[in-house]
Amino acid sequence: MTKTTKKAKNNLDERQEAALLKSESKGFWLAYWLLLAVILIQVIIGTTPFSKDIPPMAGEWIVFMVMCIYSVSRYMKDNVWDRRLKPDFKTNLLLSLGAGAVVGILCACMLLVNGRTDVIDLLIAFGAGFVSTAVLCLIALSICAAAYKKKRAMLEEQEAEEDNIE
Amino acid sequence: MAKNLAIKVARAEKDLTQKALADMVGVSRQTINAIEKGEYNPSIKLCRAICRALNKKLDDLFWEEDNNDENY
Repeated sequence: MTKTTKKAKNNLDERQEAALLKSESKGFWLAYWLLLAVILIQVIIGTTPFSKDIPPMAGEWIVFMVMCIYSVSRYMKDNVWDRRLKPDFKTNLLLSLGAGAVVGILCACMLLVNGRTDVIDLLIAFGAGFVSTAVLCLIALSICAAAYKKKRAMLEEQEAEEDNIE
Repeated sequence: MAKNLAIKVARAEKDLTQKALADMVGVSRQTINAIEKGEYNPSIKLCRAICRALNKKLDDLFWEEDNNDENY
């Protein structure tokens, strides 16, 4: 049986792919050890009286944020964007709208779970989650895309000079 | 890793820029620069593509002369 699904073109060449795989590998082990540390800390803190003062999933959120910062900084350092996605406004907008929709639905679900069934409340929760997340994501992605393009242009220029000199 | 001057020389012989060679072999200019600087060790597939583009043999571009060679 032949495969009929066609894979999207990879934007990266083999050096960039190797750099990305290395970042992902290091990121995996960073997340692994950080999550283990979080579990151990939670086990220890769980036996103390002030464990109630700590918000739920605080450790996991810290690990998630560390991983986000790590990923962005590594990708910027290696000047790698993504295998399939391009750093243009259209893609960034679609991603931001997708993220906004997910958070909007999550906000509405949280209200539903807590027994709030008023449609207006649910729509407000969805709208607030959707708009705030989509706008923040679009700003963050636009800043990252601009930084990526700037560094890429800088490297191209630098290498062009070296190419001419030597 | 040592600089790969052989590629630079072969490229100069053909009057190709790094960008032109990169386009011919389907990689980024940064990758060709990294190979020439000795910062990246390319796969055999890319080595062959570079050899084809520069009309050279693998040995001409990627064989590193080593003092220990005489022992083998």
